[in-house]
Amino acid sequence: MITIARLTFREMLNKKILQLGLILTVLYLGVLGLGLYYIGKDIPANAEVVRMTLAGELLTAGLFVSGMLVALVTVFSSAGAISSDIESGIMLAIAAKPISRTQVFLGKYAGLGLALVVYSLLVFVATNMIVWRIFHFHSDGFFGAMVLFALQPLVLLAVSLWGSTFLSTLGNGVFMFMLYGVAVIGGMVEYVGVQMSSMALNAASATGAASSLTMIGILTSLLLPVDSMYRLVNYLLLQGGPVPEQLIRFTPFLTITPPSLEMLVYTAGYTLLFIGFGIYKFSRRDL
Amino acid sequence: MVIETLNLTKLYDGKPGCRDICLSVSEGQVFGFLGPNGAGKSTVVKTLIGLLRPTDGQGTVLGRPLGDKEARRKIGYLPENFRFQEWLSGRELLEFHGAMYGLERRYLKERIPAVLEMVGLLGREKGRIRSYSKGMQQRLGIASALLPDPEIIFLDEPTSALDPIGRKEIREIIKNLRSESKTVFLNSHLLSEVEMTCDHVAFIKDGIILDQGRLSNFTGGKQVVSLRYTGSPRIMESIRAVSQEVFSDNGLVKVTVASEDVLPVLASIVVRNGGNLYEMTTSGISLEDVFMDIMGETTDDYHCPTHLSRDAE
Repeated sequence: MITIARLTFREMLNKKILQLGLILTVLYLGVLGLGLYYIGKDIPANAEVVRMTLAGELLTAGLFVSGMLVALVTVFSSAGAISSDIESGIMLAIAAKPISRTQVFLGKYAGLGLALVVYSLLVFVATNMIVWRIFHFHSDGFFGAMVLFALQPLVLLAVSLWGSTFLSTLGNGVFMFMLYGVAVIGGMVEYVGVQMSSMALNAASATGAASSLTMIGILTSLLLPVDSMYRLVNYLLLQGGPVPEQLIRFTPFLTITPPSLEMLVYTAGYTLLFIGFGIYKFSRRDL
Repeated sequence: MVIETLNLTKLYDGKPGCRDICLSVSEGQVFGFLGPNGAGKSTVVKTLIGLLRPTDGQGTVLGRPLGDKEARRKIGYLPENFRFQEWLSGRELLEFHGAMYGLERRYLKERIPAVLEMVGLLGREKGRIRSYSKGMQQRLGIASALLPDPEIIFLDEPTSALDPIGRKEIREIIKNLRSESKTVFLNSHLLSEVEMTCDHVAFIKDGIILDQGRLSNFTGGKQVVSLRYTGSPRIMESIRAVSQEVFSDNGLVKVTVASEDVLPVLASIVVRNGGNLYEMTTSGISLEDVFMDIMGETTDDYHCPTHLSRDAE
């Protein structure tokens, strides 16, 4: 398994998608830094509350894009991790060796996972550094948020590798991209639902619509619990930061009530389940 | 037996890849598996190695069930349509494959140059695989298959991308393996390759084995004799009695006989019956003749050879 993981990690570093992803990430961080610099420049020194609120909102917005970048790199680097090796004939030489398909699958997961966790950490730290440097914004929840952010791609990777055992590279890429899109939109819909129910307590029709929206969000979170992880990252960063609670609720990137411990357990179980599905499917697949 | 299968069947969505395959390959044999493109040769090999799950039937390789991990430690395999990680160098690829075999670094340090020399790639191992020609990649694939010093080596069309020099070198490698009592399972549609290297053969068509046995039983000994003589009809009757097949062609009588030993008998039949013998030429039967003959057979009434069924029970 370690042999496969090591090779997969090296292969990942050789992949154009990661190199392109890194270039785009540097470009994105540059634009983010420049934008925040000009925003921060015009805020008066005595408007500390405004500065911190803006910093918090811009940080969550930045992390939303960072999360998207991580998701895109994850999907495009893993969509063909197994299928393209099968399609090209590389897998014939590997699977004929005295190693089990479970070892091959877990080796791929470990190698890709390690590269993606490192990439996620870099993006997270860089985004936070930019906001800290310009707005002097720091949060007690930084380390917890960082760990959660870095684990996000592992959830997506488990599903993508599972898809890669039976879908074509292109088919799996499209499937994963759409699934991720549904999860993100679902998270935003849930946010709107929660806002509506908190603002229109007396209007029965409004609360009915709000609970429907919330339900949609919950369902999409169950389908792919990546967005709820992202919201928990934001929650940890802002709750542990200097932004007043009344002001941080009005951003579509945040959740007022954080995802529960049950949701985190569900996410861990979900990841393990898809790793299990992937191993089962790959072990039974004809090559 | 190194390989033993009984009624091994692989269906792809209900369509047969191979059906009722009964094979028995003993240690040290160089076994040629012959058939036209799409006959099911690769399907059989992949099923034996465990890359395909059999739909029906059973089999063992090195005395263990098909696909067994421990058996694969002693199996070398060159796939037909393969590719390697092109960003690796030849040496890195062999190190990677060696690690997958669980071979120690110290062993690989000596073994890698040895297999590279065997396939004629020594000195080229530092180059990236993407810079290798198809033939060089084929040689690297063979080097990888030889890496664990396997007890059995499956070569699926090993010479398909090679030039005549490369083909000759592969034949030499196969001969060396035979001299080391290794078992070689050679998939090929290149009859001359098989004829020069194999001692046993099986013929497969439409996923079904039509015939199998010692190569010499198919080609060895048999002779086609062309006779030109004059004499009584009794001569022809006597010739038929000692021949397997007789037909006349433009005054020339073509006779298939079981061995060279029959040649003086034929001459004596003509002379003893008062005939005059003007011409007598011989030629052996090639594998191509046998192949074309067998491939013309129908596949409807095939059954496992009874001795294989009995052995496998």
